[in-house]
Amino acid sequence: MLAFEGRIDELPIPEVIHIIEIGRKTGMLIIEGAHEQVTVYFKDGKVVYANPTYQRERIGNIMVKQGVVTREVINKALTRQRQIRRRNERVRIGTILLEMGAIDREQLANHISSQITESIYISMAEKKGRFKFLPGLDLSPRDIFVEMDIQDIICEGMYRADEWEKIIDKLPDFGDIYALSTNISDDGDIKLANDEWKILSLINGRRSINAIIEKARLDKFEVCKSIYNFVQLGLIKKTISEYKKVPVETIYFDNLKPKLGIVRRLIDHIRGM
Amino acid sequence: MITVKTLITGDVGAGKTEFIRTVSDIDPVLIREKVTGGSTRLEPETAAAMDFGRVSLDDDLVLHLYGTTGLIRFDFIYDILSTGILGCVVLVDSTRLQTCPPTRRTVDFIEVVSDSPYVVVANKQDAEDAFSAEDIRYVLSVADDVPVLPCVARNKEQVKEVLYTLFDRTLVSAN
Repeated sequence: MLAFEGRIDELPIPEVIHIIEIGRKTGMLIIEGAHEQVTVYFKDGKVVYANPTYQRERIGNIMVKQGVVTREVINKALTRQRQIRRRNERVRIGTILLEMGAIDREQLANHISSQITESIYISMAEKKGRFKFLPGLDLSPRDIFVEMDIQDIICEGMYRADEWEKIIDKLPDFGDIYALSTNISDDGDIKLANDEWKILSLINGRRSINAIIEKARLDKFEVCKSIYNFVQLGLIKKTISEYKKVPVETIYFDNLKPKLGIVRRLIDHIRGM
Repeated sequence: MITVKTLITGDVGAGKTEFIRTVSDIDPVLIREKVTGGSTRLEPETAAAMDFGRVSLDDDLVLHLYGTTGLIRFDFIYDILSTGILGCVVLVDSTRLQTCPPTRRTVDFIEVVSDSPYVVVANKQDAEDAFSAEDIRYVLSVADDVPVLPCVARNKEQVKEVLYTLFDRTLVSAN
């Protein structure tokens, strides 16, 4: 199969994945949505790996936060990865942790599976943008991959995409701050699951939705869905915040390329200070 | 509004607070802890957790400067601050070569945890017993392509030059 590309609004991502799957193709699908960029790796039509191109949080940090490994272990693994790179080889940090004996194969497979799932969900939420399929994969023989049944993920992704639309409609800005409502209706009991209690306990009139997502260490969709439900139930309400008056965009080195003009402005201003 | 996050780091007494104060247009926010032991040449109360400075460059472009030490017990601050930085300034007290090993540890940390570029600043060059920037490069084992800049952190022009060099390097690295 030759490389092919197109627009997401003309050929939605589930259909693109289906074409690759039935054609049993091997290669990389790069999805450049309006908000996120995701790369999905296929081997004989099966998804074997996926990651957001501009990952907000590094895998090592995620594993430290989850208590899977310590910071010291991650630092050792990163040092080893750097040494390997000097030999012009590329090995994923997860593979190095496995080789070091810091994690077992099942932990790594679980981590890769959740990364694939999350990446597919992210890409399916994109309504505009472009995709490109590049045949062929240059994989390190040392790296570990998992084969996943993509249809289940797509079904869940489609459900989530619909739910996301409702959530975004009700919670348009994740910089918004919510507080517990003082006049809760006494119509019947409200039952909350453990995770929902955890999320509700983080809503304190000072934290933004983004901060709650960070603090909860739960799936972003589940956190937003819970907050959406709390609003619907009248348990919480939006408060006015100083932080809201000016929208703030932070420029990071990791996603700098499209924003180099800002660095040039920065340099010009420093010259003129 | 666009904010740009820059990390200012270095060992205790390297001059991070002074560096930030020199260019910040607010009084730096200082989160301090008293440091026990160490050199008698240190300021009596030394910033040990985090300093914050802000430079408004125009109506919608703001530079945030976060200062923090390489002290082991504040590693968690590195985790927070090194996420999403545009670049990093590593300050060294040029009169105290004994601070180079812990600073090297900081440099290692920056290199493995963050892809963002950094520059090394050989601070306190106005002191009589200051070692040169090249001496600092040698003792710190800094790669040839990393700038090691002589500086006096009280001197605004020199601090501007450091920031200019850092962002120029950022621009080159990102291209």
